[in-house]
Amino acid sequence: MTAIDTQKKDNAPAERVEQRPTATPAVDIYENRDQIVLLADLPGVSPANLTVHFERGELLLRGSREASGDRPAFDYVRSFVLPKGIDGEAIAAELDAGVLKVTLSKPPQKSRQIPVRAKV
Amino acid sequence: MLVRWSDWDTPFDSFADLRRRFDRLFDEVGAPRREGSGHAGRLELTDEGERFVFRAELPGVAEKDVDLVVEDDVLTLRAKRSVEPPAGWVAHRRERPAYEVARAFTLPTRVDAERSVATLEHGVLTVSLPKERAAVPRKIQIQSRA
Repeated sequence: MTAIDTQKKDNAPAERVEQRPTATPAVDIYENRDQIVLLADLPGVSPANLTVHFERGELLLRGSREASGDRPAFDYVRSFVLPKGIDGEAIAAELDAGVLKVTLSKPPQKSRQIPVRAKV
Repeated sequence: MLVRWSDWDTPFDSFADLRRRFDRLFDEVGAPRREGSGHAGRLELTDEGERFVFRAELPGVAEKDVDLVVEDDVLTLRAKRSVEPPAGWVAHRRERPAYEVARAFTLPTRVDAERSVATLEHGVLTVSLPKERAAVPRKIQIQSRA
């Protein structure tokens, strides 16, 4: 009898691993010769509730929002794999009117013209 | 022994290519579901007894681009943001929409426009709308007849 009870328990809906629901913020990414700029809409996120994390070439954004009205608290989460050679120390992030702007510096381009010699 | 995977793989290349094409297609179709794509973010109105609280997600909107009017029991909101890619930059992703909000809301009761307060913080507009005195709920004391 006990065994059956245990089994019943096992069939209960699986527990959620994520504690808080998450949402994917809308993002723009622009690039020029020296920089990559990432813009993300994070309305209602204060600088204190926002983390921008860079590790092993991956940029992770996470912004928390408090519960408001009938919506429970949730997190904006999004991560990006950055091109190789991005200087982690030179990443700048600023939050203005609910829009996050992350500026990344690209490694200097070392291009070299290789002269071709003709064999006579 | 050296196995030449590249030769062995060749006939499957077209399949891999097909799969990549499908992946790309589905990436586009099933792009991450976003809050408020194509228009401004969420709007909500809550009744807190003595007042209504109206909230609107307006990321990227400056104070000067918000126009808010309260008249009797009607709240009118106008807001706008334009998203222009900087000149000389290549766009890799463009998900953030330009939008324009122009909406009027009829509130359940009349509100006191004089005491209404609005703040715009971190891209969220919050408007506190105190109800007119007559509309504020009152607790009625029950008298017992001895």
